[in-house]
Amino acid sequence: MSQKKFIHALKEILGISPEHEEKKQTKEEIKILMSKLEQQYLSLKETLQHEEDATKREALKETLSIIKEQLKKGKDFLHHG
Amino acid sequence: MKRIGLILVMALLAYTFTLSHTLLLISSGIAIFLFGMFCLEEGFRAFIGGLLERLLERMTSTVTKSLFFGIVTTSIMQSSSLISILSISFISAGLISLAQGIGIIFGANLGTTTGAWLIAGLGLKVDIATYAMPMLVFGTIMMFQNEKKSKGIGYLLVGLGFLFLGIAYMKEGFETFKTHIDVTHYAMQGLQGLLLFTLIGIVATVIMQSSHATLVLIITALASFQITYENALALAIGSNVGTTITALLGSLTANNEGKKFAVAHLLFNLVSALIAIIFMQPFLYLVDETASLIGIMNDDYALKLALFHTFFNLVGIMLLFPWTTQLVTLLNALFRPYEKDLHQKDDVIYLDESALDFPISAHTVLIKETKHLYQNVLDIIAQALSIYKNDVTSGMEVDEIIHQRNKAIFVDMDAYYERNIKEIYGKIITFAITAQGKFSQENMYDLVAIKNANICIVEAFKASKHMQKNMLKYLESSNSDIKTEYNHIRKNLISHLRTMQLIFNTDEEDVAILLLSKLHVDTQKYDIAANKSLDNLIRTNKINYTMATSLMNDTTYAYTIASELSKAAQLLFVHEKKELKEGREALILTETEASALAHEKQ
Repeated sequence: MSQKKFIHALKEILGISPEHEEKKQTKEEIKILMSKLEQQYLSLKETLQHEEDATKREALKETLSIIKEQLKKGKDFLHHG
Repeated sequence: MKRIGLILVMALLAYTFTLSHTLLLISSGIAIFLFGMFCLEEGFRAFIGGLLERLLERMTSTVTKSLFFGIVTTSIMQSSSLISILSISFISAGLISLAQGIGIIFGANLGTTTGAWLIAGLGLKVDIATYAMPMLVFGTIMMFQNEKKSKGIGYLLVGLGFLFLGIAYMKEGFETFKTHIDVTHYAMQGLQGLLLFTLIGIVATVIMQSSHATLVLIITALASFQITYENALALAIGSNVGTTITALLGSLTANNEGKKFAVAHLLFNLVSALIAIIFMQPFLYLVDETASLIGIMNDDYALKLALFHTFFNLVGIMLLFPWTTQLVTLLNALFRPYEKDLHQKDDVIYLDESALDFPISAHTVLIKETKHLYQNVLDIIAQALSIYKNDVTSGMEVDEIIHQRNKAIFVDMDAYYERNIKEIYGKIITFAITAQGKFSQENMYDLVAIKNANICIVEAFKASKHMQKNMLKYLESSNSDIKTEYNHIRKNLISHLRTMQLIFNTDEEDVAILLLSKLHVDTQKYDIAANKSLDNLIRTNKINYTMATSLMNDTTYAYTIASELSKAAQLLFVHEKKELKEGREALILTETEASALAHEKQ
């Protein structure tokens, strides 16, 4: 464990993380979640290209639009939150 | 009866105090000491309560780490009772395993022996009453502060002050005592003495509920030559057994896991005591040899007692710690989970009073119990749709389920509510309200959210109950159009319940976030689709007005089920982990956003 990580873990255990650091941490978590959602988006888009069943295609399209909306929300939070 | 007993004891004590001022001095010393322990525990709860819970959560990943956690925290806080209560609370909530809890309590047994060292080393040799007074003054000033941490420090100082004062009173009492009576006449030698004084140690600790108080009494009496060294050792052994009463009492309100923990504590202390009694002579030899090696005077019996106390607990750990896994297996065999009769009322599984001691455990058990309630509600909603819970959790296509379950299944929903929902729901709400009153504002916010999730779950049940009547009627109807419409409702709700299950079962945060948003979008689509088909059916005279009214009402009920369950799922997911709350909430679509998306797609 690096010194920085150790200090961070210790601060977390002691519950002395200042507010701006907590905010920073939340933003980091959102970034991680967004990158996972982006990966899902790409993989679902690829599935959509090979999908022939109309109902399934519709469901995939809807999921893609949901992810798109979520990513938009995430970006808004990162810029203004 | 209990009250009469109490009055009798009080009267007897009052009479004894009129006879002996010395006894009053010693008794008040004990009382002050016990009150000091109480303040110290309160102080630790307020001052490092959150820290202690965080440490326990993170630093007890293995049994060995748990052992060290027990040693260190008990040495610092001088209260094995607090550690024991914390462990029971965490075990009951499933935050730590029984093996980890056993590791902690083994460590706490060794950690608590530092108390004897402090009393024998400092308490008797320094005039600690001098330090007690300023501590009490500063402590009281701090106690009146509004800030929680300052209040905690205040309690700690007042606690220490009273501990010191208590010791000083006991010391003074025994000093006066020896000028009047020589109690050593009552000393008993040999095995008989060993057993009798062990028993006295047990009884004294059970009454005072603090092994520390017993040890102070023993050490001060020993230092004033009021008891013999051998008898003092036996009393110390007894105090070690008697202290398990705290864990046993604490476990009465705990679940099976908490009870196993208390029995493990009792077993450990009993075995250590037996070892100490059987091998008393080798122990005495070991203590004498070590004492001379580390420079303890041969006649410093108080310090030698502290050494003995440490040794026999250490030996107990060395002998029993390697058998922790076997001990857990034995306890699991002794305390089998209670098997419920199918027709018996379902009751809470996770909620117990011990979880109310700490915010993390209260939060965890509430989440778990809510999921338990949800599983029952899922069961009955599935039956209201004339399918079974297993159909929802199976991998079968929704169309296939509808095809297979094409007949109405009647279930008495009121009876089911009485049997499997009412009791649990009532207890969850009561528990949440009690917890709300106990913890800080920050914790209260989460507790209210979980309570609301429960309300949503029960609202969904109520809507399904209203829907059931027509569902039963139209699934058996000869009008294929109305039957198709009701099957459509069933399909949507089955998909909804499936997504709910996926959210509860997945460990992938991004998947859960996506599914929750999907739930919201799906919910918003209910009305739109239903209105379109309803218009069409009425215009073409395929259904009569009674059917149309029923369909309209039941579409609303279906919407209520979907929307209440979605709300519950979101509340539980967002408030499950405090540190992830904001991040999770930020990415899930709101009702408005979901509605906009749903309308856009139509």
